[in-house]
Amino acid sequence: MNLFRMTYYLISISFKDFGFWFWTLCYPLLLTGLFIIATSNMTVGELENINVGIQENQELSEVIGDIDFINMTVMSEEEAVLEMKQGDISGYIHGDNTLLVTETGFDQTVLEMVINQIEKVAEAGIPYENYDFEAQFIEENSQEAQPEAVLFYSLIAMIAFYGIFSGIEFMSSMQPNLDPMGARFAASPYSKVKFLSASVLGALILNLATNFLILAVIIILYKINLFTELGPTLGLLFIANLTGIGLGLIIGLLPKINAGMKTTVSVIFIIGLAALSGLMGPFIKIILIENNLAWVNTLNPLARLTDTMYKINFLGNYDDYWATIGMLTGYAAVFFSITLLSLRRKQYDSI
Amino acid sequence: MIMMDGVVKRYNELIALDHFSFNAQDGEIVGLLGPNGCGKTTAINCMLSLLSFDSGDIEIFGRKVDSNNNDVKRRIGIVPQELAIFDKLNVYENVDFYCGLYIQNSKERKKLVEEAIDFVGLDKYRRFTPGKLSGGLKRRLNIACGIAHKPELLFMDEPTVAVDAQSRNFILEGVKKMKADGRTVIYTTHYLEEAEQLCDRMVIMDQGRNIAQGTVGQLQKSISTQERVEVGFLTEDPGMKQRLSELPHVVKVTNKNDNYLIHFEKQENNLANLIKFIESNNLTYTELTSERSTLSDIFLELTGKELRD
Amino acid sequence: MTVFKGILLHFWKYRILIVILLSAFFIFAVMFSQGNSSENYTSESLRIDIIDHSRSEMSRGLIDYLDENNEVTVSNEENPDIEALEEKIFLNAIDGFITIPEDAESKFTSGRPVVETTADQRSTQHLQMQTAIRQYFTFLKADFDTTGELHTDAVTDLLSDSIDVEIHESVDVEAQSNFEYMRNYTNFAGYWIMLFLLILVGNIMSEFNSPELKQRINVSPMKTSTFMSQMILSQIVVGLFVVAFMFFGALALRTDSLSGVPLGKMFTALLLITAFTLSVHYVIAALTTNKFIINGLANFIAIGMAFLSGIMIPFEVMGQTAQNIAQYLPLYHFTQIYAEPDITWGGAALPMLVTVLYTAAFLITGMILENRRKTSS
Repeated sequence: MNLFRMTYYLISISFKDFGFWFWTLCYPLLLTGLFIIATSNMTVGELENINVGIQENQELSEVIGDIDFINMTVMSEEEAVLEMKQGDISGYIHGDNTLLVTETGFDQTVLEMVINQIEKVAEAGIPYENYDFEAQFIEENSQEAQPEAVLFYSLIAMIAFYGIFSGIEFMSSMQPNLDPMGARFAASPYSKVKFLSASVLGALILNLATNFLILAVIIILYKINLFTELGPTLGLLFIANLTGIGLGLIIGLLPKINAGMKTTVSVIFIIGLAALSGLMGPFIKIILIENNLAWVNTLNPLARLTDTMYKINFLGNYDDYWATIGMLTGYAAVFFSITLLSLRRKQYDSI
Repeated sequence: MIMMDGVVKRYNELIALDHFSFNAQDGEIVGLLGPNGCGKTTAINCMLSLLSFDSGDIEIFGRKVDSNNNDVKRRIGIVPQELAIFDKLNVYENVDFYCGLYIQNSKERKKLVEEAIDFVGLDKYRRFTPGKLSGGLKRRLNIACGIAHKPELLFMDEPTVAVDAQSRNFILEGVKKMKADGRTVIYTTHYLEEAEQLCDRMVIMDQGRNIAQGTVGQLQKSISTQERVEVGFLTEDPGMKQRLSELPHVVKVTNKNDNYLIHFEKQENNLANLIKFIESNNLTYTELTSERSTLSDIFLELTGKELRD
Repeated sequence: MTVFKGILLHFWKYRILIVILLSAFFIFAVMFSQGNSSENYTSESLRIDIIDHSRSEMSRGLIDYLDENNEVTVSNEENPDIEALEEKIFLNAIDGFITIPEDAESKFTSGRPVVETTADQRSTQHLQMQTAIRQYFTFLKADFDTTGELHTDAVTDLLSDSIDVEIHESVDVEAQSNFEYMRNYTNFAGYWIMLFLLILVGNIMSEFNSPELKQRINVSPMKTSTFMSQMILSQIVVGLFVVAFMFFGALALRTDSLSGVPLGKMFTALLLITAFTLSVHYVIAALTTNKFIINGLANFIAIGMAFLSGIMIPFEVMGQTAQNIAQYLPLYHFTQIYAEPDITWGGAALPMLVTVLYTAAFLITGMILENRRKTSS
């Protein structure tokens, strides 16, 4: 049987498996839909003004009223406390220029600074006319924070690694110590290299097909512009697919565990790696960075893939593109070599 | 064709093959008999070079077994005990897949696959996936996958386990046809009738050892109990069992339903002696049958336990 | 109690895996709910990176001033990795970064823009950073224009001595921060209990629910009700173990910081979500014994509910559609049982009732499906 016939059969085996379609297509599409619903309003378009309550005839009324990013309303302390607890206003200015709050927050801190500035102008003893409140001391650049985009890139990184399932399936069924079909395979003269090549080719075709389908849904149906750099992104995904398949092949080689259990463990493992790379939100990434555990994600291939994808697409930063490609290729090469060496193993101690 | 000499295979403390020796000639059907766990499958896996072994020699087609020797592998077929077929592929695809592991040429393979499907009588089911086949038909498919490439030497490991009578007969007939085609078959089973019906020679295994081998006749001759006679009388006599056991060459007398089962030593005129005894005592018998010892008896005598234990 | 023991024995066989997963998720949950606890009002600090090319008196003053109330990281590198800093803003790992050029002082004296900032201009953090920087330079410039000298220390001292901010007497800041920590923790624990139980119980029970085993049980003299009650009891035991691990684990970690936390409601909420999860499992088990589908559904249900109930992303920032959907999800009501630090049992009653009703609804659905399956087989 030539390589293509073998590939065809291996593809057929996965193609008719509901589990395969669920994990590689249904599950990511469901998650994408979910992310879109959950994050649709996450990034605020404009900066909102700060609402503040003020005591009647409070001496700061006039100055505060002139500040364009503060909305001031005159009210009593009782009303103010009620409104603060409901989240309608951020603070209440009363008495001797005191700020009353019910919680800590950025709005409260800004208010605190504004009142402080007004008080300190009087305190500093500098003639008022020497203050230039309109002076431009700052040149402002903007870099949008869009942490929720990481969810999508992480999801795509996760599905790029789903070649792992086909890898496990193909390899487990060809091990004499795991599956009776493996005894048939091992007792036959069929070339191991050819079989390995067919497994990789089959898994690659299947998984790339599902990846492209998901990308098409994201780009065409959901109209999310995540891929400004489509070509280089596809290059990354191609290599990541190979890495995922390689990982699946060596997991498939593990003795004494059946393919079902291996798949379950792999699902959890991949979700774990994806969570570290930002699938559950970027906070886990940030915590790792802040705790000097950045190396965890340096080694985590899913995190490398996620990072490089948003860097090239969102930040126009190609600095670690080739490093990521190199690392993923390195992982894949190691996985394939181990698999080939194990397949060439002559005999088993027990079956 | 196969020569296995003093092979020892250990799994930690357990000895699966204990200086096991075995041979098979061209065109023979050799039965490997023994209870579950006696080492039959281990012996086959060693011959197939799937399992490593601790000591001893195995030669197939005159060459030492070697998992990298594809020339030898090409001439061998296996039908494993467990079903080794893809659930997701249909009958034709399954046979084609396994045949494809041996045969490169697609035209030749197509012909062989068709022949194998015909051979096991699955012609009507070629587009069925295994899930839609009965247990017996799945077994037949399992066989078709092992024989499609027309191996010279075929290992069949308990191919009739959990199979209905019809499929079983079909399988047994098939094995006979293969012998007629000049193939060598190593057939493991714990069904004695099958072995008696099918095999030219048998090897009886117990605890990884080859405890006896030969044709049924040779094996029968090798044990002390040669003949059993079942006799029943019209009238009951409490002392009859004792009197029967005093006849010449009787090994023992047991009760079988309302009859007596007399075990004789190897002797020409056991039945004549018994008839003489009946006539001289004016007894009327209701039943008198003589049977030669079976493989079960042979096994019982050799190992002290029933084959199906 | 054969079935009860049999099922527990199955769980026991997976004990190492269970303990590893429990510990891993416990660490995740603790990480998830990281936060600073404080007893008084504190200004909200920004995470700012500063690249100081100037290394002047003026830049040192700015850094000192900002460092008073913010987490400031200063870099003096010649060629800082601007793209890495932009990435940090993109990820929300910092709020912004400030570049102080070499000629900052001459720019300052000549009235040109002195520093360059990069931040997400749509955020309040950006506003806070601008306000702070502007304040420093406004005072420094006014002082410079008056005296002709740079008095950076004086300006820093002047501004650092901030006004007093009063926290209203009805608010217990310490309790609030304790509460927030435990709320985040319980939210995540709820998600995780769902995921863990659905996967673990689902996979183990799929073996028990396989048609071959079911047939044996059906023909045995054991009554279906006895079988069911033993099965449910064993699952409850496992559920209780998991809840106890998560809940008491957190208590042990936070022994000193539990005042103002509605622990009773949180524990009740965890028990209710466990009951709900088991009822969901019951429906899944009645539908399929395919482990692929069980694992997939478990993952999707748990992660889906967690996202839409504000566990992964704060509820307030989600879209209106998502917020509307959340009202129909039991995990959202689970979070509402302990939504406020001072929530009363009366206040918690409604979300508790909703969670119980969901549990009952799933149980009934499961029973209907189970009966249908029995009659059809």
